[in-house]
Amino acid sequence: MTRPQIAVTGLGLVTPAGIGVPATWSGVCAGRATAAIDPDLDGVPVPMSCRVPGFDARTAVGSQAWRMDRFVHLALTAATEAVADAKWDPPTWDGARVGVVVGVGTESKYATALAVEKTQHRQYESVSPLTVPRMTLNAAAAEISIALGALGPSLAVSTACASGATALCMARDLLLTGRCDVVLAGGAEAACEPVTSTCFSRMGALSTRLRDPAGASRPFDADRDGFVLGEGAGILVLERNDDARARRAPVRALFAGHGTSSDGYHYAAAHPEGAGLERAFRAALNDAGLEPDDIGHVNAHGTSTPMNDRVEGLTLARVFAGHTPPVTSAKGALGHSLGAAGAIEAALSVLTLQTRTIPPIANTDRLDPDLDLDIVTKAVRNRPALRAVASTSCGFGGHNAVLVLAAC
Amino acid sequence: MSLYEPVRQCMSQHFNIPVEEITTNATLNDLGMDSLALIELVCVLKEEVHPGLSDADVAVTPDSTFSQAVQAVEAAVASLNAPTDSFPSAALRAAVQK
Repeated sequence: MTRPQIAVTGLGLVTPAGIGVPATWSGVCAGRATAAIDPDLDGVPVPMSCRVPGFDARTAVGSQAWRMDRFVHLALTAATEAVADAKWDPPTWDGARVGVVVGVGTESKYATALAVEKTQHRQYESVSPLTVPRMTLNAAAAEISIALGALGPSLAVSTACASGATALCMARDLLLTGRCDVVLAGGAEAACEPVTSTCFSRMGALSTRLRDPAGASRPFDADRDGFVLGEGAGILVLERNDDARARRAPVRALFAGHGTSSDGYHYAAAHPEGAGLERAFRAALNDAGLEPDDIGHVNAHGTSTPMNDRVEGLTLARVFAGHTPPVTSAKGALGHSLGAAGAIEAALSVLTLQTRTIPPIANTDRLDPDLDLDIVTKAVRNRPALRAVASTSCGFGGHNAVLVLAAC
Repeated sequence: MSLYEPVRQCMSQHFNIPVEEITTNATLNDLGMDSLALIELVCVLKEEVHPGLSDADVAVTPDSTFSQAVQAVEAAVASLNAPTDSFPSAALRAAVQK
């Protein structure tokens, strides 16, 4: 039985490099770091983040912005761009056949923090009645369904920092099984907030390079010391390739395969040999019907934490038998947007396939001497013969997701 | 003091409703406010107009006109002790005077 091919027909991005796909792509290709001291994090142990610049929620999502938290604002903005990019006019689609899957690591806590404060002071009547619909992780998927009339299955996926990638995997399955004709899928996160920042710093996960914020996120670099908290959203429009061709939609790339796995090992640390990530990678290759040699580029998870980048780098070297294709990580430029990252990086992988251009890892000067990787630094690298790209994501709790995207 | 302008400013600022749309005869439903939004409005008015306000005491529904809503807020405030010096808030007084 031949399975249908799944096409990526639309992209939407909101990232610290800018609002929209062109702004993000040019910022990432320029290797422009976005990390900076964040006035809204004043006083916390690591007051540094990568923020979406110039984002006005009212302008972006309209008058109902007040009832949504920031991760929802970002998700809706990206979804709207993606649907227009796919040449869909939502009032004309068969909404019951359109699904939404949005990965979210943690909610924005804007509404929650206010409710906690009021509750601690026993000011119960001052607690917003909108706190629950603002804080639940499904809010992004729900508001996309409401705004665009996507009336099929609509759900949140949460696998920590792999959420955005996992959401794309689940969406692909909804199309392969025929349960949906179109799925809007990706991730959204807006966690640059004092509680979340403090909690990550207590784990020792954040870079403390406060003397040089712009240089703090340096994936696979010998001097990396942690990730920089970021925010953003990435939404992709997926549909079966035959359907997309039939409606003469622009097909940007094929979503050729995916693999997901669990380390089953530790609540926060990666498996020391990357056993789970390797299983996900091999499953994704198998799903796509490809061999390691067919993968011309890896858009890595590459968080800039000492542990992730070591385990991921060793795993990639093993999967590719010591000859990795060129590897990049967008997190040098964009920081780590947690549940959104995997989806943003999937979108960047699509753009890499379309332009045959691999963006550099911002900041990274000197590859960790323990790693044997071909990393792209300083400037973009052109690969005219590029046919397939793998994008990796890993989350606390041992969640792994690997996507294989192919030129169409 | 009439609370017409203070309530109007609070609604406009918090719910992103253009102030010119908030007219005497517009219903709250017309302005995009449902029953949960009305409870949220009273939370905002507690901060900005009178700390003793309670949504149980402000008799409004989405079908109330803006004018009726203001009267309901004024009636609820009148039944409370006189507001303290800090209410309405300085920011709100400045917005009203503009």
